Amino acid sequence: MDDSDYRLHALRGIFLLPKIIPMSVIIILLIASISIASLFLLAFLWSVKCGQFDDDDAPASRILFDDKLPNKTNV
Amino acid sequence: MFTKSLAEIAITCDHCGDECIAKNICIDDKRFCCAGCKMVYQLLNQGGLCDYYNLNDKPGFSQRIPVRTGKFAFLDDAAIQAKLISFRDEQQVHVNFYLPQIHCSSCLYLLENLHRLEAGVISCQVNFTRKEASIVFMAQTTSLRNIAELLASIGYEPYISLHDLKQQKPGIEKGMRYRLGIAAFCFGNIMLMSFPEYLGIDASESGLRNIFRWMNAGLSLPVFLYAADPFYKSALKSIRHRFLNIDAPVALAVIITFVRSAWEVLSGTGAGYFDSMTGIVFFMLAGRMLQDKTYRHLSFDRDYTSYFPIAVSVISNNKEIATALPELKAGDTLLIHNEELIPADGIITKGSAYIDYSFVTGESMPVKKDMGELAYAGGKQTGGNIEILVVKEVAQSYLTALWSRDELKAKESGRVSFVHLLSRYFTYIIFGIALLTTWYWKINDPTRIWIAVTAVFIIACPCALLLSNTFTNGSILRILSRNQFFLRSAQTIENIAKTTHIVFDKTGTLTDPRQQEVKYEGKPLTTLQKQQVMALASCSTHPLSRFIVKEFEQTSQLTVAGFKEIAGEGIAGVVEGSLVRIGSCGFITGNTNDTGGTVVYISFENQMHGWLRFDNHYRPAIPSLIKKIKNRYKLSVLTGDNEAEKQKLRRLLGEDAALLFSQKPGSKLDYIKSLQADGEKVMMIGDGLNDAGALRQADTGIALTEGNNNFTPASDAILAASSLSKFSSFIMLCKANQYIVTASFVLSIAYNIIGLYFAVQGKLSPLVAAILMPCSSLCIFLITFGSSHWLARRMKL
Amino acid sequence: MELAATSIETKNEEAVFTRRPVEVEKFYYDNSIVRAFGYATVVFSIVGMLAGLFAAVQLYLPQISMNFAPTTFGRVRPLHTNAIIFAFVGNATFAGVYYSLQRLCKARMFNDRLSWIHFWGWQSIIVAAAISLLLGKTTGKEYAELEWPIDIAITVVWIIFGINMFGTIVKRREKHLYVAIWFYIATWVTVALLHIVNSIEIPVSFMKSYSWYAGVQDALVQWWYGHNAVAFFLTTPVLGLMYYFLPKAANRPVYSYRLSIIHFWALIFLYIWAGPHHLLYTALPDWAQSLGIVFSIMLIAPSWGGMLNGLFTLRGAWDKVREEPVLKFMVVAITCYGMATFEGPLLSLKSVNAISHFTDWTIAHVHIGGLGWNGFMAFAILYYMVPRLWDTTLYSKKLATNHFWLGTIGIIIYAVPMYWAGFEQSLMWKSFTPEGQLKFQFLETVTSIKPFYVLRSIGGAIYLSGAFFMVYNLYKTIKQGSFIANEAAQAAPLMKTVSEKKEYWHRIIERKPMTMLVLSLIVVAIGGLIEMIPTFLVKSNIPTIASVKPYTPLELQGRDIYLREGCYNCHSQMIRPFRDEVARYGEYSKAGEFVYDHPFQWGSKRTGPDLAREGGKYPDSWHYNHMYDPRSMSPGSIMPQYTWLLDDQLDTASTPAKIRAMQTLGVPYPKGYDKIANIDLMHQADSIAANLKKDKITTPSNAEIIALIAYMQRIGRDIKSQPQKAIVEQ
Repeated sequence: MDDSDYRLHALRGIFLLPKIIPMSVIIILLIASISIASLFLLAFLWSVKCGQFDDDDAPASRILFDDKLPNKTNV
Repeated sequence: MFTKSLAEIAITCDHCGDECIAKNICIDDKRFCCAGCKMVYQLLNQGGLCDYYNLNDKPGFSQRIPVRTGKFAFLDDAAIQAKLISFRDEQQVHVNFYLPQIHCSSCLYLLENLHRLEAGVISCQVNFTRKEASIVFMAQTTSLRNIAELLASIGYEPYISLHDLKQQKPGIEKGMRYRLGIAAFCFGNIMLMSFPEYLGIDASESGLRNIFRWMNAGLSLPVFLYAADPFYKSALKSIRHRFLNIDAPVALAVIITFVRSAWEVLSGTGAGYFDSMTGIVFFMLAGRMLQDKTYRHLSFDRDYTSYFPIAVSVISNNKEIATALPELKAGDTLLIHNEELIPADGIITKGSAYIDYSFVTGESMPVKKDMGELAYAGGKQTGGNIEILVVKEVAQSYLTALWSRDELKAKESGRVSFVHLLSRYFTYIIFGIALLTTWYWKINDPTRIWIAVTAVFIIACPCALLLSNTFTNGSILRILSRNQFFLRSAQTIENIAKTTHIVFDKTGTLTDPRQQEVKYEGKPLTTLQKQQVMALASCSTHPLSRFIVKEFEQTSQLTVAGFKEIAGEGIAGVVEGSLVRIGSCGFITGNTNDTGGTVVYISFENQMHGWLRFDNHYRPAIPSLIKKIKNRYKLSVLTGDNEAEKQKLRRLLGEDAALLFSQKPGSKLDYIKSLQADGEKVMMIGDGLNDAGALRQADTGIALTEGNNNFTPASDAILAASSLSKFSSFIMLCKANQYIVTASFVLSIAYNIIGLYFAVQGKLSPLVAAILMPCSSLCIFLITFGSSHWLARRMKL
Repeated sequence: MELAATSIETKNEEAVFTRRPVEVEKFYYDNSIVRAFGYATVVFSIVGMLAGLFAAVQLYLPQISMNFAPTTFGRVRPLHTNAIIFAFVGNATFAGVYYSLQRLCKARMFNDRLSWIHFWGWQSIIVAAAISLLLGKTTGKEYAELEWPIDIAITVVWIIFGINMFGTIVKRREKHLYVAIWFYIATWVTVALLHIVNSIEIPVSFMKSYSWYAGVQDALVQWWYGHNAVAFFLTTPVLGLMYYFLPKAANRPVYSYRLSIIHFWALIFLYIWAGPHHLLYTALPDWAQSLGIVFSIMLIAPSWGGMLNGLFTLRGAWDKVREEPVLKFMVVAITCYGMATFEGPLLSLKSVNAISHFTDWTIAHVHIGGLGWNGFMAFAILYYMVPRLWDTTLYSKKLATNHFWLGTIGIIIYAVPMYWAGFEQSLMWKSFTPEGQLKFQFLETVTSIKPFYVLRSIGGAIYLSGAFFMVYNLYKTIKQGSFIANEAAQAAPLMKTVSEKKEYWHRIIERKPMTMLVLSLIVVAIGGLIEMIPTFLVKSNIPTIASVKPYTPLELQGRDIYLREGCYNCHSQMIRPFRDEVARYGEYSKAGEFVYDHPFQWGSKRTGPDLAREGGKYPDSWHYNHMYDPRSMSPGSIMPQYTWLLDDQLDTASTPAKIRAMQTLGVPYPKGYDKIANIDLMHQADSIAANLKKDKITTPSNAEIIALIAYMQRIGRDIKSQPQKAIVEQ
């Protein structure tokens, strides 16, 4: 394959990179991982915004309560 | 976090764990100390909420003193409602109540199931750390007042004070968390993508290498532009104030590092130092966060408004009208019920006042005031209802006026942490070095000036100092708070360390208001007589009666007939067929001869039998504490009382301590000022409102409290009375703070210099360097954290 | 099923009107779906472990494969791993998630139909996987063996699960998202991404495809996936379950909620990058290897954060542990998690890895995690849920405790011999005589560790027997209880609290710049890359080795047989630059050698010798006989017989499609070669057949064995001698 081919491939999208640049698959992994990381970052910012971390004593014990009704109804 | 109840020997109330004096209040196997507790139990039982008792042992609060019906009448007042309600529409209303009683998972469980007790409640979400319950209810089905009364009836009486009128809810610092999150994210990924560079990614993969560099540059933007801005801001502020604080050089270093790195990447000459920059910012933010940790359940700047009720009942043409405090005018007539605070100075026009000024003075012995006498705001009426003619509006009242004294306003100014001073010299030195390097390269090789100078600034960033400071402060604040000593801010640590003169308030601080030394004098009492006295006393809620009950530890089942209590005089009743009377000299003997101090007389069948002498009970921790500190500090004691206990105090505090008696709040404040005028660094330890002025004025004002729920005047620190014994160790730790900071700073400087030494000789592989960078920050953290905790352990904290 | 449930809902809504204010909603938890996944868990735990036991026994009794293709180790081992990971742990996770998520969100699952599609979809995937694996339909990538149609099915089902989960989270009645939910979310997002990126393959036919990536690249992607599969399929979800079920079982709040949140965020960031530590000393670039090491080391912190948080939760409740089997299981599970996560980074250190890699040490390591952490956690959850679902108490705590002890002893008897075997064999491999000759033949090293294999299978059997105790115990429990299909609960709906409403306006001002920065950063990261790529392409140069040529059609077919029989499960194709390996196998492997390997076949375990330089080592006839009966050529060998290769005919019809696929992947076959490929194929086949003839072996040239021999003889022959790289001295 000659140079012109590479450019052609490149424009065809990054999934052809593995054929062209050595270890370029890392770029794919990078993009994948970083976009995931950004997702989690956004999730984190969201959770701060809506006060998920305002109270870090209650949630731990809140899950211990059964929300069963006083008169347990089975269906 | 949650309270454990100890196993009592005596039979204790299944609701609140208090001792059951009356043995007959019980439902099936449950026993209660009072009808109140029993009622709560029944209520929960109906609601099917008895898990409340399974989750924790005896989680409730004593209901011995029932909440006055109609106490929350003022909540029907639209104007007041508007102030309290945070949101309302056609069907639902949102309100946040501060419930100081919240303390355990049972509270959480009960409150969040409130809807099972009251149909109108839609939901109730508890914020445990802030002891707040945000309640949503239906306007048609129930009312704000009902909710408040419901809460009160299950032992969670909402605390609604004049303060709530201001509507200033402290929002949690979210910006800091955003910044930390973003910094962490960028730092992490930049570190990741810097590794290939360090790990020797070779030229054949220049493509990859450039991608990594560019991504680093991109990732560093949010840190540079957003996460780091607190440093820029405070730097700017400091420069405007013509004072170079530590953030100035830090900000400078961050900016220069970024510019240099960006330039390297753009010009393709290098990878830059994005990882170092973002890393430092991240760690510094983390440090800040650690240091600025706030105790949401405490408030350090309560003024009188947090004490005073939001409304009182004003009597106009024989009708009680709930009126918001600010609306009170001179000439209004107030109806003050039992256990209610007198909100404004006024003249007693009806009923006999028996006023408990413990809020004000820390003195729990109520004072008798007769009609026509002047009652100061801040006192709490005990006994029957009284009426008061307002002479001064709330804001002008004797006590509240303290806050308007303007010398209190300007307090924060002129306090400079030694860190800033240190950093200032540091900065000058850096600039010096920078100049020298510029000059040197100007002569030798002008092309390299830019690189050399930027290098100097990057290397010489005093962030190590900032880190060690914030981290040390952070961990010390934590240690102290673990020991029930809460500081307002990190600055307080230094102020405590600098202290030269410690001023104590006597009543409620040196002495324990909840205890009295009771001595019986007169004809000896038989067991029966003791039981009779005890039985009678246990009918009254008066503090003295309580002390008597405590003193005569008799298990008596005797019943009292015809019990009557004359407020401010005494109590009487027929026990075992004989008339027993307990009360003041006048009440028993008829002739009033005041022998000083508190004395209660006892008579059987109108025969004076003997008397009980009540003396102040000094906190057991005090003597040893004083012994520890009296050689190191000048001591003073301020008290509103007369000189009755002069000798006692003298013995306690030694010869050279200053003892000032019958001090008015104003004069206390002035005394502090006079000390400061002589260049003393004053620490004031007090509790009551009357100390508030002094506490504010002192370099360090420490408010003593019997527990986090109690209310403390504005102060720099809040100390739980139970940890008073450790107080000298606290001071030691605060002194240590400065040494730890300096030490770890010096260490990190040495660390950097050594690192540089090898780096410039190329003896340090880039990978090692890269790992050392975050490590240096981590080291600082470990050193400061470790040493402060090690010290704390040695001081048994 | 779902209709019934809804009707119940409506019926009771009316009841609600009369009894209590409508605002406090009454609703029902869907327990049926939990039960379904629970049953599946039990069934597949037995199936998966039986498969494992069967495979384990084959390692000292190869004859029990009965000379029947589907029962050979090469096919059973993938079945075992897939059954345990995706069927047993997968179903256990789903059961736990469906149980806890509903209760944590105070809401029924978003949509019952989706739940059931998820359930049946997942089970059919498992069945399809089992069948296809036994039939030898495999992509030849460890832990991702399933062929493309199943991969697609997995993606679909996974997305359905996602919709159901996020739907539930959206309609939740509890404001706060408990930390467990964060772990579930992380699991879902990450697994989705990993699966998709790693499964990019080009279909050749139904149930046959080639990995898009080749050689080194494939290896990197595969282990980026492989490691994260462990991280996000076997760790984060189970941690989430731990954070729900441990506090519930101990009835005390988790030791530090703050710690749980911090270690969550740290964990998910670090895990993503630890993958390359599976490829140390391989042809992967050094810096990429070091990257893996660094991140693996850093992983200790968050992992142990989780472990300590779990154990400290039980601080002062050890009396409870004494009588509560659920807690017993959890304690050991968490301890094993701690051990495994400490050992992992250790194994990622080059010096340790040099010894441990390719040996049974790795097997021991993963089984500490699998048997200890995942297995015990799953058992604990079952023991916790079943009595509650059937509204009764556990039939016998004694039986459960026996199960616990059997399991624990099983783990020990399994792990210890494996560690020993791995260590001993590795040392034998690396020992030289004073004359500088290799001290042991490979076969000797295998026969010397057979006793450990026997012990290991005993340990496994004990562990399995414990599982049978559980089955009986749960059966009895279910018998004595009555199942609550829809469990009633009530909670107030979640309403926007005013604080948000109010602060909204001044908050947005504060939030805007930051949000924009975040977005801009993502744009910079991704957009920037795509822009820059072409420019780098021009600069970049490919270090391919001129002498490395694509496989001939016959070799390609042979390679596919090699894949089909799962040879990679026991034979590596990666010679590391160690003195002993070079002495034993030949020149160490170079990155450039694998550019045409779709997928790579480096393997991760040397039960048999490395084959990277197998080509030309033995005559064709040796391979023929060895395949017919390994023990005839190398006495004591534990390799199964592959007699069917001698009889079965090679399917040459597939050749053109395969060639075309390879061309699409950039393998430089001449244009239109697919048409003539089979001609070349027959030529080569005939020559090999003729070659065998010389050694008195007559076989039709269209037998599969011919193709396999062709491939075997080709492996590693492209490069004669490359400039010697410094060999790492041991």
